[in-house]
Amino acid sequence: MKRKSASEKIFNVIGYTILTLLAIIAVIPFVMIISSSVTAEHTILKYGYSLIPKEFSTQAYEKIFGFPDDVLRAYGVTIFNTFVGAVIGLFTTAMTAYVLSRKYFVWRNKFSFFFYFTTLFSGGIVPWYILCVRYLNLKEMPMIAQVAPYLLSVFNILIIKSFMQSIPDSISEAAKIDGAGEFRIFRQLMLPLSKPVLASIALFISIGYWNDWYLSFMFVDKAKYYSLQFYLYKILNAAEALARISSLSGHHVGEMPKENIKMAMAVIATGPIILLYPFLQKYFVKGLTIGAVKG
Amino acid sequence: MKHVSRKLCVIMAIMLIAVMPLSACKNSTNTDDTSGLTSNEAKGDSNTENNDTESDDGTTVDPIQEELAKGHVTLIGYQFGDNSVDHEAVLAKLNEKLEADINTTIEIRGIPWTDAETKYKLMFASGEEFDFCYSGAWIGFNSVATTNGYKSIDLDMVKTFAPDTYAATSADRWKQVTVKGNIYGLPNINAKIKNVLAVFRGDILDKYNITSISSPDEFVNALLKIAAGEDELLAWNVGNAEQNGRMRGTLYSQAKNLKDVISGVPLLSVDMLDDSYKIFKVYEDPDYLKYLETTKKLADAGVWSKSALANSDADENNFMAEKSACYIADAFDTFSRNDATMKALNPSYANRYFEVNPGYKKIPEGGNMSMLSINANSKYAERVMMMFNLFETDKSYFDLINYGIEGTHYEAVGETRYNALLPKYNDFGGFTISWGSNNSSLLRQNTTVPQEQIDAYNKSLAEDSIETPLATFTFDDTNYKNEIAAITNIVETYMIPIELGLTDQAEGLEKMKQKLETAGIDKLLEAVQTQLDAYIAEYNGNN
Amino acid sequence: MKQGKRKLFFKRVREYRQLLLMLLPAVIFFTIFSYLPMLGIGIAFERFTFDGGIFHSPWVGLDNFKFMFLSGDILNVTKNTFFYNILFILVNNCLEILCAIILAELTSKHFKRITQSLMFLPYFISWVVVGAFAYNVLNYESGSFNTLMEALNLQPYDFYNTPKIWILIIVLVCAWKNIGYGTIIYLSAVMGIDGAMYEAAKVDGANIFQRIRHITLPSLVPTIVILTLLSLGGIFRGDFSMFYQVTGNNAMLYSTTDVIDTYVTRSLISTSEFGMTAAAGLYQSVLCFVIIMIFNALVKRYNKDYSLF
Repeated sequence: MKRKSASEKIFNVIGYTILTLLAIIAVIPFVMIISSSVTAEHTILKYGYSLIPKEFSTQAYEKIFGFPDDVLRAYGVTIFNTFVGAVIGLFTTAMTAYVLSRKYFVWRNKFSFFFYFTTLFSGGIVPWYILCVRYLNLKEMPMIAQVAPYLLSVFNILIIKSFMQSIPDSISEAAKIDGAGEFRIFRQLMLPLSKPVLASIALFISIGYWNDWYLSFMFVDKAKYYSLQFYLYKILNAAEALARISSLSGHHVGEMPKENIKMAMAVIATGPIILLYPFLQKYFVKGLTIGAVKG
Repeated sequence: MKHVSRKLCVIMAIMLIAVMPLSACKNSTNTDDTSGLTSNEAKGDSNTENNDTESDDGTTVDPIQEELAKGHVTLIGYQFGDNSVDHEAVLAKLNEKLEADINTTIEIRGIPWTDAETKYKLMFASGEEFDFCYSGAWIGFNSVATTNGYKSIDLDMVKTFAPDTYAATSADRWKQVTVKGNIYGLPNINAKIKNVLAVFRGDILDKYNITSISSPDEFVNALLKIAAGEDELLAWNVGNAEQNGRMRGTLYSQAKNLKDVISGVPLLSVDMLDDSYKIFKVYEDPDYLKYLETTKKLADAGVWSKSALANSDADENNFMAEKSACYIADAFDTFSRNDATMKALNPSYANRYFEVNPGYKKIPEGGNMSMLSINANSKYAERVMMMFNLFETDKSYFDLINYGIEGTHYEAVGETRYNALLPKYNDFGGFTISWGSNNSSLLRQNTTVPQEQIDAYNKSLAEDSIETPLATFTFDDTNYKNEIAAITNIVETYMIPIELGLTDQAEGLEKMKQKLETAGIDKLLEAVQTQLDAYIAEYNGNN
Repeated sequence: MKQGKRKLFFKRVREYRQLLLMLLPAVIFFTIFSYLPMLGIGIAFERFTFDGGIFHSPWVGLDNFKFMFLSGDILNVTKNTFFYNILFILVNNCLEILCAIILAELTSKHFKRITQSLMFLPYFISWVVVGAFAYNVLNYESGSFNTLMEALNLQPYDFYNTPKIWILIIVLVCAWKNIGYGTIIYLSAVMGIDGAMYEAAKVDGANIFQRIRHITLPSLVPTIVILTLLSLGGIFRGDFSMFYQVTGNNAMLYSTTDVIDTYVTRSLISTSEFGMTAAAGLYQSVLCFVIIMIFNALVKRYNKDYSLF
């Protein structure tokens, strides 16, 4: 091992300090969430959140898993959505980005604009909902309804496009001269070369599906198709709306959801994605660099 | 460059082609819709059919029997909120009864509270197929009605298919759910009379030797005493708009018997006892300024938190979590629903109820506050009415949807009381669908409420309720939506902080007045006054 | 002449047929889920009725836009939205680039992986919970901040009555929540940089700061530009739940924390009109459109490849 130079030592000191600080700031609230999730309800209401549970209680988790079938089914739905959405979404996103990154494709800016324009103007929720429900019949197809509308995002397309543009043209040109078609260049050359960005976009798409409650909210009536986040969402956000509506209508609407359950659900929902992330991280470290290909 | 426009043309053309069938579909569904919507016509048709069968047979056929003969029907209904305790079991029991009585079962779907208003309207916008839903002025009844989301209801049909309801519902109630000449909801038979009470923790009151509270001054003094003596506990938790509204009611409007003329805009009020029905701006009333002084005093004494505005917790929750000593509750719901639960969860509280403004005039809630409405595209209006009839007038149904299964959830005590079983587990919120078919004469009260309390409550209702055209007046805001939106915003931005005494009140009031004037408060006032005058004239003419 | 152009068009279609075929799924997707519903922009000019739908509701012209301008606050609110987004872009991008570079250069594998994961955690905490935490820390009587101040015999601080401090709080909270996400994009861009360039620089004796200055940062420019442009495209949109939940929808802070989205939502509490909601959205879209056209043109002039379109 080479000896570290003075500048590297300075850099390391600064780097470790900054990252450690940021990590601590990020992790403290999360510790509070975990701690609150195992605190007795009345203690939270009275004393607020704390880093160490004032009065330990697993009552929240007991309640959530009091209906283990529902939670497990919701997990199943969400895993399905995430997997199918990420695979199809990532592939299509990358393919679109590939075309837009081709410098010899003279219509690339027109198409980029065609896509980008959709992020600026939207007809709003009403026509979108009418289209999805009345014409695409998404309510009848809950599994498709929870995947299809979020398959592609212009943001992701443009990020991958930008990455692919930075890959030297010489690589794909060589393949083209060898007679490779566009799709083959895309699949066999550009996809492997883009691993780092694909890993991040895969993560983004997965997180998007994992955290989505909106599509369930809009299109799913039957509890057995509820996604995990929707299952949790109904409890998480209800408190405030309940209070408001209860007084608007003058009707008593029952007990508010419990604080510790809110927290426990946040823990449950984020858990798996934290497990997926380290797995994807290897692409950031080991990802094929261009140098390696050229070499 | 010209290439581009060519290509754009191609894209546009493709889009147009894609859109055309859409709009064509749209047209065809539209015509369907309208034929369903002008349901007088549609109704007329089915009536003639009925008459035909009658004349063919030469005998009179009972239309209910005839309807039942059409076979089994599953009605789809929407309610708000998540399922109540033991929803499945109660629903199963309910369906068993419905099946036996009217050959019908119901499927209940819920709209989560969050975004309830958006989703509610989207249901109609998308032309979703369902039969009935809860509706109420506070959840956009008027706008759904004026935009033709509900089926208009034919009274003859109600008479036929919901005879008990028809007999028990006064003509006024129907008038209250009429929008632009059509009836769009099945109203509660008996108006609920809103009567707010201050709920105090008895143990805290004892600590400060407070025995009775029967005027705003005594209420304020009690709060001040508690605030001065208690360190951990707030005397009263106010903060968001609704809690603020209850505070305004208790400390200002009730004593003067005022009523807001536009719901959601607490700026324009009218004296219920004044026959001239002159609307005035509250912030120009000297008593309102006195009220502000009071709240300032309370705020300075720390009766509520300095950060009250950022606290979104419901006051009832704060009370239950030992964070505050008092809250304002609706007696109707507290006595009949959650009193037992509250007492079971916090036995040491020894809750006491006080009417802060004894003798203030109460008006029955308008029929349009809580209803069941029938979806414009429902094919089973008859069955919905038959179901509604049972819900609202048959005590066995009423008990089931409000209190659950006898023996499991409650135990009937006589005709008007019940014992809550498992009160910690079940707070008797009821099916929210039951709100739409409420009937206060069938209501039961918790046995945990002392008889004196109920007597006092009933007495105050009997003596102090008044009849007034104001109860049923609704402002038609079609042409004033912009003003109302701007003014709602100003209320939230300026009025609430001023009333909570957390800002410089004089300065805030001045700024609010200015903003209100530019937003068109005077124009709005004039419009409401004109509509109200016309309404009063019509009302007086009719009665 | 005309015929020539048509010929060229068809020649190009033939030439690009593979590329066009590869674009087809995305084109179909956006046509269905974005362009068709876009017809609904018309609602902004209508009094929407359920039976009339988008195509047959009565036309009301610009009436739906009026509510925003009646009380004269829209200017302030628009300004707030704009400046918050500028601050977010600056602060978040700087921090993200910093983190990405450090993560890429540090050698301890486990430390990197762990901190990277931990930094992502706040992204999963919903704004509702963030708001509840904020209230817990900042409220006047029992918040942890003031409890600490009290213990130290210092004056308590009234956060919920001090609008200015919230600019700082919101910017920090936004950075805290999103840094993990943004860092990943930059990190993947750093990973895409040709390793040979670093080797050559090392041989030339460049130290780590010089390598970052002369290789990493310039290579990140396209990513920085594209992310900034993408953010600029939403510069007149505020994250409703962030502003609403973090401040607890506190009226006393509106002067510095009110953005278009919260303002509009608050206005429409009692008259939820589809047309008015659509009008507010269109107002934001038009402003964003103007901004993005200007900046995209500027970027295009500087380097064609960096622009969005």
